[in-house]
Amino acid sequence: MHRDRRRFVLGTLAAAVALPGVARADGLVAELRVNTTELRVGDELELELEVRREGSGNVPEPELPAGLADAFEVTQSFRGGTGFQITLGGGGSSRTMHSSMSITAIALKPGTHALSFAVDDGGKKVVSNVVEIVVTGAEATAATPARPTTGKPTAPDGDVFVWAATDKTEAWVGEQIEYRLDVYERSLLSSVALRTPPNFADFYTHDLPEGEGSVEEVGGVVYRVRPGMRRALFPQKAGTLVVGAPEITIGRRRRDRGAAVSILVKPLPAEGQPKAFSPNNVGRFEVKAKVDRTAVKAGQPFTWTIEIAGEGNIALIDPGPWPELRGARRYDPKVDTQVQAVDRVRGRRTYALLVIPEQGGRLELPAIAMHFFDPQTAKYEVARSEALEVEVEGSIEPAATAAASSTATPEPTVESFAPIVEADGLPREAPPTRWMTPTRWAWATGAIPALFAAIWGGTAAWRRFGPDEAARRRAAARRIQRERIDAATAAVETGEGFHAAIASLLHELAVARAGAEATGLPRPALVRLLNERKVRPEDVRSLEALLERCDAARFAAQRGTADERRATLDDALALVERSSLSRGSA
Amino acid sequence: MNARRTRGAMPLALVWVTLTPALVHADAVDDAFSAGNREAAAGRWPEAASHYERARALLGQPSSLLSYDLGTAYAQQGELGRASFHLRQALDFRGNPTAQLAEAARANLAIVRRRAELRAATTNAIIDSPQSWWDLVVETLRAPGVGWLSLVSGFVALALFAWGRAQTVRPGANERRNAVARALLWSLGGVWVLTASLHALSLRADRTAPRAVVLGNRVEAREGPGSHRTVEFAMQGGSEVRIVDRTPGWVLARMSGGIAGWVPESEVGELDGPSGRSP
Repeated sequence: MHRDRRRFVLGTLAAAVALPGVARADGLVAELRVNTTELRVGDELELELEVRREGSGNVPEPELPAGLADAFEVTQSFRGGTGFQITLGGGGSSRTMHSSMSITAIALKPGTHALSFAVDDGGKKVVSNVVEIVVTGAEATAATPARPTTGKPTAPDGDVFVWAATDKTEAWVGEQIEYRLDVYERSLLSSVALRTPPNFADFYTHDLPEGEGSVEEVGGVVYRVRPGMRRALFPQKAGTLVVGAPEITIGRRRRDRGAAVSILVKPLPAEGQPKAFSPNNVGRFEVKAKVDRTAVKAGQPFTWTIEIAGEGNIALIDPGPWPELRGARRYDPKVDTQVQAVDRVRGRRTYALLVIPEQGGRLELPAIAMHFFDPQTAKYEVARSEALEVEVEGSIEPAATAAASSTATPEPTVESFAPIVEADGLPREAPPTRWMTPTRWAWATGAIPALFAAIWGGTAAWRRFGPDEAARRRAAARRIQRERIDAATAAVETGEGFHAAIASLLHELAVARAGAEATGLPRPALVRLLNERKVRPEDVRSLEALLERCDAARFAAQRGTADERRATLDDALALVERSSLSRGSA
Repeated sequence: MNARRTRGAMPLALVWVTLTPALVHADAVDDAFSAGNREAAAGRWPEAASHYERARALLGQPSSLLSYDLGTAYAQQGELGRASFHLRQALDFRGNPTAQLAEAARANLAIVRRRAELRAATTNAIIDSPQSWWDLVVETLRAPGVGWLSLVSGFVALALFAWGRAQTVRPGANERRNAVARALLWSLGGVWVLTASLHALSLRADRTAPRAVVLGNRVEAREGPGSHRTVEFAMQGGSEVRIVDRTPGWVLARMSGGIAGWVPESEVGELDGPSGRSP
């Protein structure tokens, strides 16, 4: 039983794989699917067209729906090709052949539009299902819009188009015209490029800032506006001048061509036209003049600056010939142009003329008059600077100025060089040298802070490790003691001042041994105090004896002999150096 | 007898061999200088300049007289850059300029400067700004006198400092005298710090960015070293510049306003070299 069932299943599976066409043999189906059935004019509609046949046989490719072109503009279509699909299940299998197509279209007409497509199946017409699309909004035309040459577009032109226009269709020769080229796109396209730029053969042009992108509604359709080019055009001749048509590429294959713009350029009126008038002097201008110095010496140059400012072709403005100056030389100007191109071309052109006065007195710089044609009033106007004066001091030789001319190479001969110095030979003195070389200066300068630091450190160390107050006192006492001994030694032979020095030496020794309270005490009290200070009695007696000997010599005129004084000195020195008096004293 | 003569002649020959090249050399310098003078007297300035250049190369030491004559010869033929360079060299103390020579050099330098300004105004070249009071200040700070001032003030301040420290160590110092000494010490210390720092800055500027003069009449300054690089502006000959960078054959010259460009090394002459780098 089980074996029979297994045999049945395997046999059925093999039949389903090997002979699918046998299971479902006929049927061609055309189906239309859309992403939405309600949209506004200008919105995108995506359609999927599919033709499929169950079973074997060819599948025709779908065609565009019949009513689509009436109310929509197809912007993109893509054929998906043909293929087949095998389906298993339900106790059998089926094979489906299919062909498909994708379309993107933009709604142009409001209303309800029934869309369907049909395919030919061997002479038999197969119609797809019908899909009703409801479009709302104002009607837009699908035809290529009439492109005026001024202003902005008024009608939509597909998902992307290029728009070229000028701000005026009629102008004077030399008048400023604004040309703009914008790309209008429904969705953000990254691959839009200017393939053929417009041709400005008969114009002098100046770039203007392209500006920022914006969003505009054109005939009820919202577009993103990508600025492509802005130029200020200055027609160079009269007649109907044409700016060539630009062309853009969208992606690899699509292209769009803008309109060629024609402008009627009128010649400047002959009536009232100044002599040798430059057609570039069209616009509105003003002229100013200034000098960098109002008082100079003869032969000293100054700068006379004339500035023309205004709106127009400032780079080609022609100020006309410069006036000759009496009593001065004038050189060709140094020209500087500053153009400000924002929405229009305007700016200033500066002419800096170098003037060298040659005669003293008041040098008059005449007013500079520049003729221009104002397109607003269609009249010739004059811009005039103010006249200036420069006070010139002194004068230079007329012979020296005769050769100079206004356009000559500026090599004034009014000043002559000091002559060369002739000598029999060149001196061979060794070049003088200065002690103060940069290197030595640097070393010496660097030594100053180093010495500062050394002195600072030395004194700090002396304070830290040097003698204290008691030691300094002892040293001072020893110094005085030494002075007394020296004085006494020197006076041994003569006796002059000998005993006074010995008395002072011994008294100071006794006071130092007895302490500060001994200062000023009479001799008996001092002796008592020394006894209290545990000084040996024989030393005290010896001190007393020596002091009395000194008193006798000083006050009783008993100087004695030199030998006696020498013996006194020896006794005093013995007392100073070896007795108990010296211990504990200085 | 012959041997004695030979021995006596040998020292003379040695002296002759030793001194002859120097004598010949000296003669060549003077000959070139004299030839330059003759050509200058005849108004043949290019030839005069050529002879002076030869004398300069042979002399090998600065000479204000030669620099003055060479600068004047260049000025007469309109070579304003080279004229400016050599006339400035004539004012260098190392060339032993006399007062009269220095006065004549300054006069010619002033004329050269005016002509250079005029030429720059008409050829659209950039020239260094004329010397201002600030330049004089910088020039003064660079002078050795300022170096001496800083050293003297520094060492006197140092002595005062040492004396003051000794006074603090010694008991019973005179307070009033110490206060006066302290005030003097701070004043001199301030003078030392100020003058030493400014003098050091000016010396450093001379060392790192030596002064030079543009030698050509109109030298194109480029964005980088190499004649293929873009020309950014033109320098008027005679302009003073500072050399802030170097590559073989090219220097980066900066003008007083800060604008800088690369110019060929042969187009600038350094002023502060050992004897002025030979252009």
